[in-house]
Amino acid sequence: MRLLVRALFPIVLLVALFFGVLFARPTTLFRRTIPDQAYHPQRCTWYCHNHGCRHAPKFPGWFTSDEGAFGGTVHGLYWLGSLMTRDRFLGYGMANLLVFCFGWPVGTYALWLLAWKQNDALRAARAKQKQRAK
Amino acid sequence: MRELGFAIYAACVDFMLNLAALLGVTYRDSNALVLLIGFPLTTLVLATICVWQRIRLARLPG
Repeated sequence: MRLLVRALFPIVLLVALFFGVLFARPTTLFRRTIPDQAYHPQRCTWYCHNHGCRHAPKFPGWFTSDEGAFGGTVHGLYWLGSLMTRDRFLGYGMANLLVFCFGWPVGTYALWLLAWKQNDALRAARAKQKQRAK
Repeated sequence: MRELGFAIYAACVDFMLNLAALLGVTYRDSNALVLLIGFPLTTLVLATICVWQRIRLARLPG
């Protein structure tokens, strides 16, 4: 039971966070096309995704600008996508899903499980040491 | 398969847009926050814990 709780905890937490934020505002689930929303001066809409965000970022430029870490990541994803398909935008989407929805989460989850496994091994070893000392 | 992938991608963009609205930041900021701070930080913390545990295990006698 404890093992199941440990294994499921990050998955349940992430799913709850994801859907909590997703449904915090009116949202369409299972979109089939990219929405063509208009620019809104006060908040970001799909316009910012489709045409680039014109709003002033709150974080520093080296982090969020096209020349900064964010831009570098986007360029990297376009490059990765170009290895998979000739369709630039399809490749970009596929690279996003591969890296941020599959590869990285699976790797992080593996680290989570490894940390618990090693934690158990450390506890068992300490218990053995205590028994020997007695 | 392609439709499912697109739906997941679109849901992730909606998530980022909603997160940006909730935090009062831009779409670009919310992306950077989650993907360039949240993901790497979580991985770094877990990797550090795993390495530290591995060292402790290796130092245990017998």
